[in-house]
Amino acid sequence: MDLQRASFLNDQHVVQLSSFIGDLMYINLSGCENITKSSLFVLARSCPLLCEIKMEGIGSEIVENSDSSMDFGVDPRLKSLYLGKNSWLSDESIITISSIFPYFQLLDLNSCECISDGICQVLRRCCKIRHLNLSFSKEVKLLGMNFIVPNLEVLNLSHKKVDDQTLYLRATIS
Amino acid sequence: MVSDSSSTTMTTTIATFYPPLDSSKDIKRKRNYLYKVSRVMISPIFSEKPTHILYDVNPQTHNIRRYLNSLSLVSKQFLSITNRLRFSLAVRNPTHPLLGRLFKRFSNLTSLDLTSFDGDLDTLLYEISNFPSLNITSLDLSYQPTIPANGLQTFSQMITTLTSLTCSYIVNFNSSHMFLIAECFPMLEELNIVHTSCYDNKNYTSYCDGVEALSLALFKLRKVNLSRFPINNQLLFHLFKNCKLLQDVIMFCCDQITSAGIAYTLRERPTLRSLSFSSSPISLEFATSQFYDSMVSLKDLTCLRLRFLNISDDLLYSIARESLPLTRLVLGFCTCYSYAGIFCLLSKCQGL
Repeated sequence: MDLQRASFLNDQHVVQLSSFIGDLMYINLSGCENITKSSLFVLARSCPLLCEIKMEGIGSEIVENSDSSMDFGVDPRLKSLYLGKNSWLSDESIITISSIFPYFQLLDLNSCECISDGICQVLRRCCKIRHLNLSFSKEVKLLGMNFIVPNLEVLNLSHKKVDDQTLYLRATIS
Repeated sequence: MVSDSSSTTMTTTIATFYPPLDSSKDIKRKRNYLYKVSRVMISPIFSEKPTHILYDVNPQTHNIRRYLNSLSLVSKQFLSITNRLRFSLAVRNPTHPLLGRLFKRFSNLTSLDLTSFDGDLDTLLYEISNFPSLNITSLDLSYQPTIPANGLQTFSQMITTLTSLTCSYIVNFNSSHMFLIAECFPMLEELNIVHTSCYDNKNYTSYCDGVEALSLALFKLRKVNLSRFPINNQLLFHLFKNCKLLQDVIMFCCDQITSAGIAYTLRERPTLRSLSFSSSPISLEFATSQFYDSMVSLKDLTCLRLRFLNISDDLLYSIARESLPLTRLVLGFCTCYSYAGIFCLLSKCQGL
């Protein structure tokens, strides 16, 4: 299901709709400005068959109800997660998200300008990751990575200043 | 593999950046691969799901293919089994001189991808035609500068099994090519001719003749992708009327088609299963009850993809009322519908 740019949708709507879409395998809610990351958690809980979620350029975080992510476990099925163009996405959020979807293989964080060294923790936890897109994510720091990422095959760092040390780490992971 | 590398211990020498390959480590790694393969692959792979593992480009199976490559290097018998399980081949320039050997080796090939070949396509197709024992059912010529008319003609005479042809994004694609396809491949079930969008308005009528020829000739057509094609209401009607087996139609960015035209045409082929449509950016005229009624007259519709259309909740209410068996729904960049409509639709069509 693809409802890209359905700007009328909000988190409450997603909660109500989620009871009808239990068999959903793919959802694209990119550009829905009134939904937040809590919709991501709701979908993960209600749609156990979801393989791919796209939520690029969605609304920024709402402070209330911040522990909504705590009350459910791990979703092993999700394979691809596209969260690009979400400039509000913080290290903390991406670490929480990665703890819920530890088995994803593709993570797209293009233009997520608030993410810095949290990405290392994500890589440490999500050992199945094959494809990581960090293009236009200017603040990302990969220097804390003193471990091996065994499955990584594609790392997109375009439009980012990369120094030798980071490149060295790149070499060790590929 | 450097496991203890931290930024502080790094020196600036090249040698440290790129540690020399340790052959003993490599051998060990290869042995591990083989061990994994022998443990998990051999028995289940041939009995259960061999095909997609071997020829699919799916990244999830990529590693498995790599393991198989390692194993095939050491076992000729294994190689002879995996050869039979390859069904698709992409021909690039370096592949060209080896074509004969490859066709002999992969005897069950059904699909050829020539999109990345940038030599003389006519010659290549002549050469392929020299292997009439091949049961090629699918040919992809997309992104080529033009259609190799002579080559295709020879190909169609020697290889008569083709059911799927893809000629998308071909810069110089004109009506004579459509006549050629109609003449050479009347048995096609699937045709993709996505246009590059820069067609010449002066030649518009000749395009019309081409599409008409196609719709008259391809009586077995099930699936067609005409995105960006200069197709109008009349031609669309021809296509739907003549291709009685049509199930899947993709027409993104077909800006000559009007709401009334598509509404009238959909009535002609009520067995349609999949419809993908967009017109010129945000066109306002598609919010008509005539269009909605035609849409919900497609009782077998499982896939509906509308983009950049101005639709209203009434369409979503109608779909819900008729409980269409939708499994895929795309309304990306559509406007003028609301939560009420999508709620109603999702509550009734729960196959999504």
